[in-house]
Amino acid sequence: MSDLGSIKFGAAIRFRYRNTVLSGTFIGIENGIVTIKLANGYNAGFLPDSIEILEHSEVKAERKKEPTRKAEGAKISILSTGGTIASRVDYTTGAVKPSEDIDWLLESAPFNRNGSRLTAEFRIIENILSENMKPSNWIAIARKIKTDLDAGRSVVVLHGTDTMTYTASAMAFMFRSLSHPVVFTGSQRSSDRPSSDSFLNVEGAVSVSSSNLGEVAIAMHSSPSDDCISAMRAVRTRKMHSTRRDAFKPIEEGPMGKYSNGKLEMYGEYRPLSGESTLDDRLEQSVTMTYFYPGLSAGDFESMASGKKAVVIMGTGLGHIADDLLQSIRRLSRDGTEFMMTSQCIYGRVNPFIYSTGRNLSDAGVTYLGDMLSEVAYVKSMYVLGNFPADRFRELMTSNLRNELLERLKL
Amino acid sequence: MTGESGTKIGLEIHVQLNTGKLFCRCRSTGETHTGTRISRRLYATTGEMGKSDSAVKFETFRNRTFEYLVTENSCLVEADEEPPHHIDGEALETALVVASKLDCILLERVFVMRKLVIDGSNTSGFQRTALVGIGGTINTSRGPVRISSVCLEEDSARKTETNGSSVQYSLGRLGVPLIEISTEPDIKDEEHAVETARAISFVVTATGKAHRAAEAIRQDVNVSFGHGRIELKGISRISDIKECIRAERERNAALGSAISILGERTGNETFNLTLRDVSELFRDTQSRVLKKGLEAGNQILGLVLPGMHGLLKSGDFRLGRELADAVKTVGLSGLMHSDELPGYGVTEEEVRNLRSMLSPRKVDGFAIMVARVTDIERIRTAMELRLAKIITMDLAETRGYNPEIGTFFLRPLAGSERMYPETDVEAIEYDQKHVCALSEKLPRTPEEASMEISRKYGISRQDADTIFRENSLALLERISEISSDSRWATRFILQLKGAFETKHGKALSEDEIISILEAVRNRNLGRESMEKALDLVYAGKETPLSVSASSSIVPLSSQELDTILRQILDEGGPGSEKSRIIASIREKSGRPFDPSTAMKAYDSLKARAGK
Ligand SMILES: [Zn+2]
Repeated sequence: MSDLGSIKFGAAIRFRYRNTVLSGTFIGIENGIVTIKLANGYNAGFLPDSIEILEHSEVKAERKKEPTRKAEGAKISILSTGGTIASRVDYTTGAVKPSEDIDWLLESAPFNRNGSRLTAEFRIIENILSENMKPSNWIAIARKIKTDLDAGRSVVVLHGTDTMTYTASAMAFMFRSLSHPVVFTGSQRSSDRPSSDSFLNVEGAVSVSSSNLGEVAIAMHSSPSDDCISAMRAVRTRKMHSTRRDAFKPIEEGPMGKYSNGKLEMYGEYRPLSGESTLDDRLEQSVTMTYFYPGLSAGDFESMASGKKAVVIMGTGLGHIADDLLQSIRRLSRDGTEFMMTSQCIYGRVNPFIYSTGRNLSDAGVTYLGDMLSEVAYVKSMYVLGNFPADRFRELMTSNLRNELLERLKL
Repeated sequence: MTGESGTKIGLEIHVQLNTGKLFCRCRSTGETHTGTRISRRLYATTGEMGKSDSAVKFETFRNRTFEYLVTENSCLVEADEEPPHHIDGEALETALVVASKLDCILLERVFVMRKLVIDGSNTSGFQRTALVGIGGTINTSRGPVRISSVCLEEDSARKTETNGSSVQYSLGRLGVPLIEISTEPDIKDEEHAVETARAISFVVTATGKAHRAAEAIRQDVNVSFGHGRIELKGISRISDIKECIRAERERNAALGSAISILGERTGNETFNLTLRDVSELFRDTQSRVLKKGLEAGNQILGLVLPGMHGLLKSGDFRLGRELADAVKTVGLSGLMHSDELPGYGVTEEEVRNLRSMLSPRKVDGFAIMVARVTDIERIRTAMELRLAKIITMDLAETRGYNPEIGTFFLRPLAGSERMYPETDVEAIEYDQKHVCALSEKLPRTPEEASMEISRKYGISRQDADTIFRENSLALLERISEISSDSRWATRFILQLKGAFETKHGKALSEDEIISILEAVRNRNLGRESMEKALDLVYAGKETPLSVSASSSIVPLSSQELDTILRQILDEGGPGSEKSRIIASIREKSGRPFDPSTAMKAYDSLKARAGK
């Protein structure tokens, strides 16, 4: 009897199970179960002791594909950072993992049909799931984007959807001006399924990257249908659903443009491109964000906030937290920590002047950030602290730098 | 194991289950459209082993968009906007019990797989399917037939419309559990195929979990007459199996003779077809099809079909049908060919002009079709591929069957590469002993099944037999539970339901019936009120939603009965006779009452009046 451990993924095997001889392809052993793809295409699970291997083939090591492709004279760079859009199924474990190769994703895209080919440069700049992104990754990504912009290329960034708005917002602040569009896109339904949204999202993002949009955008499905992609302002956009294709929604405003039926239409108010790209590539990482809830103790609050340069508080309604946290805020403020208030409501602005709680917080030094999204406030304070003198913090946080604040909320 | 002259026959039986959907908590029934539609495209991916499937390539070539109608019984899972939930336990248990009953080897773990299907019938682009058993047998009067596998899979979305390159589906049926039982090609002939199909469906219906709808059982027949395996899909009536096999046998034979004649004429080398725009010949045509096509901005394309004169449609020859199938795959409605022209409103003169324009040789056929000039390449490729396949007598493919026209081309056969693991669902562990114990308890024959029903519900053997044969066991179980009266439930299923339908010329779905009965029960009203409520809905006087609030379903109180009886007695005449009294009460009041209470009240009133 052959040793199961010596059989490699993909090996053809013949084995005996309950007096029946079966054949198939060896997939692997996990959690004490041997998985074999039977001749009929189905995977079947067996206890290792219940099968007797009669014979198996050897498997040659697979040739690795060159992961990047440079295209001469390309007008666009597609930079992959990992995430679902750049994920493939690992058939050994059955898990979805970031892929080292994104060519297949673009092979079937319409701009590569009917004899024409998109000239684009593909590069893998990170290969991490978006929940593992850190501010240090944002800086690295920004620098790579800068290289492409300076080489005269617009940039499409493939990114996991979970923290896409954080990374895209970080780019929005760090780039004071853009010479070419920077468009983020991702995928809600994995690219290994024929129905994946990846294909149209990339198509839409590539199209948006050919516009005169001088703001960082997120291009994702507008609806559950595969017929329209919205170009949304990164600093006003939020992932509002865990699974739907149209999870990304601009909050309190419409998209800046739409891509549908092969045509791009830009109609929102946005900043156009500038002659050059300016990058402020510093971020202050001593910033935290805390979600207020009934019962949040001063001790827990302080352990999050103490020693930080800035704290974004996601308060209730108009921007409130319990009175018993006021003491902590006063004390930490004296030590130099900046407190900011955003709303858990997501929609609508905070206002300290309606109730006494708000007035007390404001008096204690909490800066109210209007209708700025909490995640955006977090990223923006890192940017402001990293690139400007400390005494300009409150002024800059309440000024509109990248259209992250809306003056008028429309019905 | 093979029958006459190299014939091989195997079956794939699909039975829908009446449990909830397989990977979400939607009901299997209730396909009302909500008005929401979504449109989608599907992109081909490569299978687990890196090979792309030929059926998949074929679909990409067709380049279609799909529209889905959202139904009441569908959620984000059917719309492919959410990953699958855990598997429906009842459906899995049923599949395992069936596999065990068919003497299959049960596998230690159930793995859910994705089978690539990109014709749009699955929103995700794959059908979820799980192998639960392999290597079983079923006994028939002509020996055992081996069962190769028992699978539990999701049913596909129902196609509601095809419009050029856009296809519309309804999401209601998508995700309904389906047990698929496949046999080895051990079946001897068409009669034997019918017997085997009946025996297999019995095993599933015996679980009481088979769906009752007309299309709940669908058969695929795999046949080979020596020219490759042909999969005949979706035969809904067991009795059609016979005709379908016969039709395909005849097609195989006729193609064989046609191809040998074609070979003598052309050498059966590669066909190079040339399509050209012949619209100018049909400017004033009276042919409805052509006229409509031109008006819609299309062109009429014509081509010579080398060596095919008399083989397109005459005697048993039907090469025309094969070519029509080919052009249908690229969105055309069909073609008209020389063996049927003049015809379809095309005049002799038009045919003469066409002939002189195309100048076919004597042995050549020709054809015309409504299409766009821009589609010439795709049409030509489709036709040449079809001919290349047929002249080598490679007849392996997936075909459909329609009793009117016989079998027709659907798509190339799907290979086994089209499967890869469903990573969103964990491998499932289950208790094999429990499954085997349940399968032991299942009736072995229809007689045993009806005996068991008769015993359990206290109804006659004859009624139990009908209930089982009509697959109404699940309905009986539900109505018995709601009405706490299995005899009334039986009477309703076997008599009242039909009577209501005939009387009011209207049918209610089982879901509607159940919801009406439940609503009446929730008002603590009994059988009489249930019957009254059903009568009102069947008559169209109330809706299933409104009827339970109706005052007309509340039974008459004893005082009310007394008052009515007094009136009847006061009026006197034949209506006050004892034999007519029930009918008279019904005439006076539309509300339900218990007849025996009414008779007692009548007797005591009479007795008092007598004094
Ligand atoms: Zn559902």
